[in-house]
Amino acid sequence: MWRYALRRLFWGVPTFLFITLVTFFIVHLGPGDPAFVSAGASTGSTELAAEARARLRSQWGLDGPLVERYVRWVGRCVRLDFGRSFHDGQSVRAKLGERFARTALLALAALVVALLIAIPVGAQAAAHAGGWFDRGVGLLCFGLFAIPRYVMGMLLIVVVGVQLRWLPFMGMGSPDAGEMPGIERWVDVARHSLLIGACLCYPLAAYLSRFVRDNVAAVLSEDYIRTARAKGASRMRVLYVHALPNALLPLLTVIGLALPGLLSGAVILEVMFSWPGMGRLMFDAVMQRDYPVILGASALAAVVVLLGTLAVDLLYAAADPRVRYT
Amino acid sequence: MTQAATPSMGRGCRAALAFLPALVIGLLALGAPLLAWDQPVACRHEGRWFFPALTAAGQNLPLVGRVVRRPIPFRYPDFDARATLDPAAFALWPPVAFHPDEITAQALSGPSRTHWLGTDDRGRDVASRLIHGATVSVRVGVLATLLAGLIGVAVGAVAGYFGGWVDGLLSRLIEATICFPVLFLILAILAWLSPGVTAVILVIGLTQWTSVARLVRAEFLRMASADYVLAARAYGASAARIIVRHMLPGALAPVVVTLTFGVAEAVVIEAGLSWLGLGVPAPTASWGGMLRSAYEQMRSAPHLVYPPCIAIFVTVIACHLAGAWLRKRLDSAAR
Repeated sequence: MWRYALRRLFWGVPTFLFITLVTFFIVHLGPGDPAFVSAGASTGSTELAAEARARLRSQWGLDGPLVERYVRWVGRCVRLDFGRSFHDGQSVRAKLGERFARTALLALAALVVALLIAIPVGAQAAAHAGGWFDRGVGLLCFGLFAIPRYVMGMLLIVVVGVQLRWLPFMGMGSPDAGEMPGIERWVDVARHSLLIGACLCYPLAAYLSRFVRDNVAAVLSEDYIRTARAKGASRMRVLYVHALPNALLPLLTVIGLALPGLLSGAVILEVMFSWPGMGRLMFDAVMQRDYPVILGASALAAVVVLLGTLAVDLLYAAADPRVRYT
Repeated sequence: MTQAATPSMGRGCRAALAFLPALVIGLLALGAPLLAWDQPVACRHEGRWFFPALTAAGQNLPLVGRVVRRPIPFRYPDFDARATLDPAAFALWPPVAFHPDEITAQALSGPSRTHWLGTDDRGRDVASRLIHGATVSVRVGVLATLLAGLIGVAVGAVAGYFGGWVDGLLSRLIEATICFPVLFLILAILAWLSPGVTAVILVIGLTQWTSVARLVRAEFLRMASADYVLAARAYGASAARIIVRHMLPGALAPVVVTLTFGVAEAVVIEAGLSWLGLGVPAPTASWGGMLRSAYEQMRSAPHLVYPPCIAIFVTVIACHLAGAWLRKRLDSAAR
């Protein structure tokens, strides 16, 4: 198993290098000069501005040949040093850590809620396949799945946030959150995360419940289910003890494929709800030509995707003894 | 991910029903000026017949559009047909008699008899912008998906046919593209092109080809040892010929299904990019842009949110219906 994991990690290296290399070139060949964004607008005189820009460029290491800069960047990247943000001079590593935690919190909560909905709903639909519950859920999922997340976000903001005024929808906490006592502050964060969390959750819940349904329905026609029924096991026992565990194995793959997307942050949703996570960070960095942040964020996203798929394959093999490492 | 979520539709789901919504949206996109324009579809002016909205619709058509010209007085941007045309003379107006970019006196008004869906923050008619937004969405959706399909088929076919190190290399490329955020690619493309429909099409086409590529690769790997492929190879057919003439037709059916769902995805990405301000630039009517201005005006005019939301939802549903039907047909054909 360890040999397999190591080999997979080894194959991840070229993919990682390819992604960061392409990002590096795109970022540096792209339009807009970060020194111009930073120094150009504030200084009135053009000569002064040109001088300030040249100083900034050499300070930020933007004046060497591109390939040399890339190699230097990878060298620092291995030591987890992503440099400092052009925008506010903060350490990129600290920034990424903070933002990643906020996105991950939201994503994992959405995933757990989606699973809590999807597994029982999917199992029940499969147990009565073709019945009214199955069809109703199917139609609902079909409809929900056709609503893009940001469209749902706009609707929730306008209806729940603006017209009904039930929940806050901007940012991660109220302006006076700093003065609140511990529990109240958590409740405040939870209230702020409800709407954006719902937007992340519903497509997952819709997709996963159909997925669980199809898998459970397939498993229910297996011989060992008939055996269990013949032995007199109750419907519930057959469904949840005999059928469900086997039907859930493929779910690991799906979660593994969905997780990287969730963890790298939904850009539009985070901008829409002013949620200070990875997606928002990337968007701001792209708009400000904040090279170190863009590169750091894309490196982190690439690592998350690669580790996510690896973790799923390993988990899959751990859960199902029939799977062998090759 | 989109595909598997669609449930099996009822048995009564006929082809016509499955394709009708997509067809209606397509026609709406092609004939937008016939439904919403500030000039009549047909009218008499100074003793002659003119068809200004009809020719404007003609200009939207692919290829033909370059040849079609609007009649002289109606071509000028400052020509005000409502004021200039003789009210007694015959004129067939579009149902929404406003140009999508036309700025009227009332901004942020609610739905009324003159403005069916109200006006936006600059006083433009929302119904007209919604109809013309379909043109952008459908154009981007179809062209970007075709581009993605072409790239996907090419990469997948080469990887699946040749296998070995070619497959290894191309598989890494597919993997890397999946990890690659759409947002960065738009940066790269905007380095060469000014923001607009072409840039959006390129961004979507260059990022969304991976599912088709993986599909075609898997099909080709499966077919590589089939007797007819071996036979073709034995009588000395070139690799290109075997790929295109012998193997591709067999792999094309699932690709068509994937691409149908891909159109929905492309429409959603286009609207999202336009919402972020990175897609179709501001004065052009697009659903994403409308959603953005609704977002900025949500406290003063919440009614602006619904039209673009419903338009995007209906378009996605239309593609999913068509895709689900196609897939079902192919599945039963395969059995």
